[in-house]
Amino acid sequence: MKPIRFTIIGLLLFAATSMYGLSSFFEVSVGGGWSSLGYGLTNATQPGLTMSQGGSYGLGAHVGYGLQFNKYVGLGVGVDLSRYGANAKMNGVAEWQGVRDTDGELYNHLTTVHKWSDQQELYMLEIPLAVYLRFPVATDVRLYGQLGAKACIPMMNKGSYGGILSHEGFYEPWMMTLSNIPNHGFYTASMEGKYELKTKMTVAAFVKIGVEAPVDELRHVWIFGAIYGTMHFMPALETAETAVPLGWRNDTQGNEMRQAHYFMSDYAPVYNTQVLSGKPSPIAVGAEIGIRIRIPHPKRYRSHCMCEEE
Amino acid sequence: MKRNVIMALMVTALLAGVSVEMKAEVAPPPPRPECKDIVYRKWNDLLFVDNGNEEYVSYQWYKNHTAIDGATRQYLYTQGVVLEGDGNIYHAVATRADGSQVVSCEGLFEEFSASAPLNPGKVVCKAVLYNFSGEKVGEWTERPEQPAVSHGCYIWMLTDEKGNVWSERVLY
Repeated sequence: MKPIRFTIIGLLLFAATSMYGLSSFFEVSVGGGWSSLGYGLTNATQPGLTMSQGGSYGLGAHVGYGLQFNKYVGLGVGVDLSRYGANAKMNGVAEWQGVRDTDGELYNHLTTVHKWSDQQELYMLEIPLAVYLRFPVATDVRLYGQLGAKACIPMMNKGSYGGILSHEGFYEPWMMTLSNIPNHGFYTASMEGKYELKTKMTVAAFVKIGVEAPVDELRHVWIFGAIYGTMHFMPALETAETAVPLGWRNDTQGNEMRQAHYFMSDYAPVYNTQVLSGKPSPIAVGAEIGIRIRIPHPKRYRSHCMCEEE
Repeated sequence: MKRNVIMALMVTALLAGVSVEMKAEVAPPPPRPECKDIVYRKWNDLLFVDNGNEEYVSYQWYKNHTAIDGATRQYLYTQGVVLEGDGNIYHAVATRADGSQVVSCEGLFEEFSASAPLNPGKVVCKAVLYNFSGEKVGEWTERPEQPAVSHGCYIWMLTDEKGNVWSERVLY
């Protein structure tokens, strides 16, 4: 419902402008910077692992329509396409204690995780509604700020993971660590794959601060540059109702490996496991440049003289 | 006369030398150090030295009394080579940090003790699977590798032969 409401408000603004001859403009911009899906990682269940979520690059494109009520205040609506990303990284040793090998013997399974990466990429169609504030700071240069909210609809997404895993078995009674025995579940291999994210609609707030200046004598065309920040108030990813333990059992290694690693979960995206902390609510900061084209006032004519322009 | 004496002495010396060499060839081998039962077998393809006391720092494995090239780990394993029933005699020499060595008793693979019965893992006698809503999905006398269930999160309630119960969360 929210995107529809935003669209209706935009259409009403456009109609109001047309009817009452207020100053209005179209604008187009592109930008980029840093983004994140907002969640963190905790190694409470696997203290031998170091993990972090460092975000990814963010991109944005915007097409909008604005209505200027007076010299200082305006209102705008539009359509944005934004990219958000997350990059979870893990290194270290994960340990499963007291498991049984295929010989029926008790041991501790150690999985050394080397350069593990789990990346999520999310493209959203966003419908912003914002208040513009403009202040002249010099001849032909205006400082402007924008504060608004936007409804965000997930459009495309991509999840991928990969890294190198070394499985070893530590047998405490013998003080022995078995490695490089692939047919009994102790091997080193790279593992990678892709998955689809389960996404949902969110609402975000955003703020922009920038400067704008005309590029033509008639002041119809303006260029602008701004820095922006966006924060979503709701998770954009659907997480599991009950998080699963982190695990790397790998179907592609065949049934023998499934049997050898029966104690381990299949790999699940980090945001669905017990290492997730916080909620996957996207955030982004960056800079944008764009162009605004002022729409000339509709011509109005006095009733007593049809030929004289206002 | 003098020449005959010299010849006799030379022949005697030669015979004495041959005698010494012959004695050296038939000398008995030095006594082998007493062997220790420190080698165990695992699966059908792995032998290892018990280092539970963290006594040894290096190893050398032997097959039919000949050192195996590169076999210097705590365990003897060659990818794809089954040792059980291969008819070869194996033993290991383990070296302590001070340089002293311990020689394991030698034998065929199957003559060494199996390690698994000495260090048994939990043997599941009863496996009950629940979904995350708490509904029982199934019960088995041993845990199946891949139960025929739809994709999702489940909880295993497992019981071993001693009646110990533990749970595991899994994703199928």
